[in-house]
Amino acid sequence: MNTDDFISELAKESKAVKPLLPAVARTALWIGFSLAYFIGLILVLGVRADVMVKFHEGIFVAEILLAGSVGILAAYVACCACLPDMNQQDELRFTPFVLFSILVVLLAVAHVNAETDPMGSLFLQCLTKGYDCTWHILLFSLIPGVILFFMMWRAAAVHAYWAGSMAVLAVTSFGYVAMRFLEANDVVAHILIWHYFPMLFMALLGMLIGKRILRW
Amino acid sequence: MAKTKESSLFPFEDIMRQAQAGDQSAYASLLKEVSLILKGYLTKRVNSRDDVEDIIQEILLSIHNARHTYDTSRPFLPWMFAIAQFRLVDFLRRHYRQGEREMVDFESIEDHLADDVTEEGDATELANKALALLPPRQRHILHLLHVEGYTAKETGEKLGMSTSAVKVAAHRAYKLVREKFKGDVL
Repeated sequence: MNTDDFISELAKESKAVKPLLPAVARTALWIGFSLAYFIGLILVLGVRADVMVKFHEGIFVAEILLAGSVGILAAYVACCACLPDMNQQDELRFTPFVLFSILVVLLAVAHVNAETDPMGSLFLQCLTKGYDCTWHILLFSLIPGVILFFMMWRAAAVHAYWAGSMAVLAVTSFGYVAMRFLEANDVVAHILIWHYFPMLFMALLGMLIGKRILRW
Repeated sequence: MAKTKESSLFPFEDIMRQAQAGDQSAYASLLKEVSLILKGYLTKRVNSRDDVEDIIQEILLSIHNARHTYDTSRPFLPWMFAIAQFRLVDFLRRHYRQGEREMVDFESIEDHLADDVTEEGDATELANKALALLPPRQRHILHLLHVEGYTAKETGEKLGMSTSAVKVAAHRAYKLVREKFKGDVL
């Protein structure tokens, strides 16, 4: 079929389409749902007993704010990355990882200050069976993750790898924040080994998930 | 240059807004303008005219399927070129999937394909031996292309295959023939 005939066929079958909501609106919708979900989860499972004390610790508050910001920014970048032109905001692509790096540096400094043998305690943490936390972060993130991927699948991702990676980073960041309100384990080495590194690994896996689910 | 200026005057954003609202004639004029731009863009990047037409149609179909993702408050061309580049990379990846960029110099054995089988000649015998190793369909394709002189498109029409499928099959056949031909010569 020649191109002119092909164009005529496409024009004949075209109907009015409902444009996608802007990326900001879609992000806000998803964050609204996720907040309600995670708050409900925390209330059902029981918030940690010392949470009010923890709010007086600057590092805890900074950690929660940074992790939450990573989640929000990663969700926005995911909603942009599922559009062909990335919402013409390509400059935002790496910003979630910049915030994530700041968070890891903050925790690393806290860890070095708290431990006499920082590397030794990190190694010991690897030997503990702290993967329960990793599983919990993953499980908590499933439902919001499915919803976010569904929202992205309805778009047309040209950057499927990046969209998938950002989506997983967003959901696991919120999952992590929920864990910090549930689990009263503040050992920084534990948080680094069993929370943050798995989040990074899952974000990498998110690239493969994005490539598989978001193709069109 | 003139075409670029004319393209820059075409109100893509307004026409796309009308197309999203269901205006079929606006949509057709938009796709026509897009196809002209894509032709210039792809001709510089893809050698074969048939392939350029195939890719243009793939891109137009992708634009059709993704038209709900275009935000009319933003410029149209970056959105369109993002899709175009995506499909072009897809096409090139499919085309060179096995990393076989070099085409065998088939001219080195082409002359022997049509030789009389009774004529003695090492090269003819080698070429025919190599061809005999090919699956019947690939052998037939090479025969149509290089002995009977059909184009890839005509060969595809004769065999009920797409032009791309003919080219891929021929390319695989060249590789096999080259390996056999080189092995025997060495």
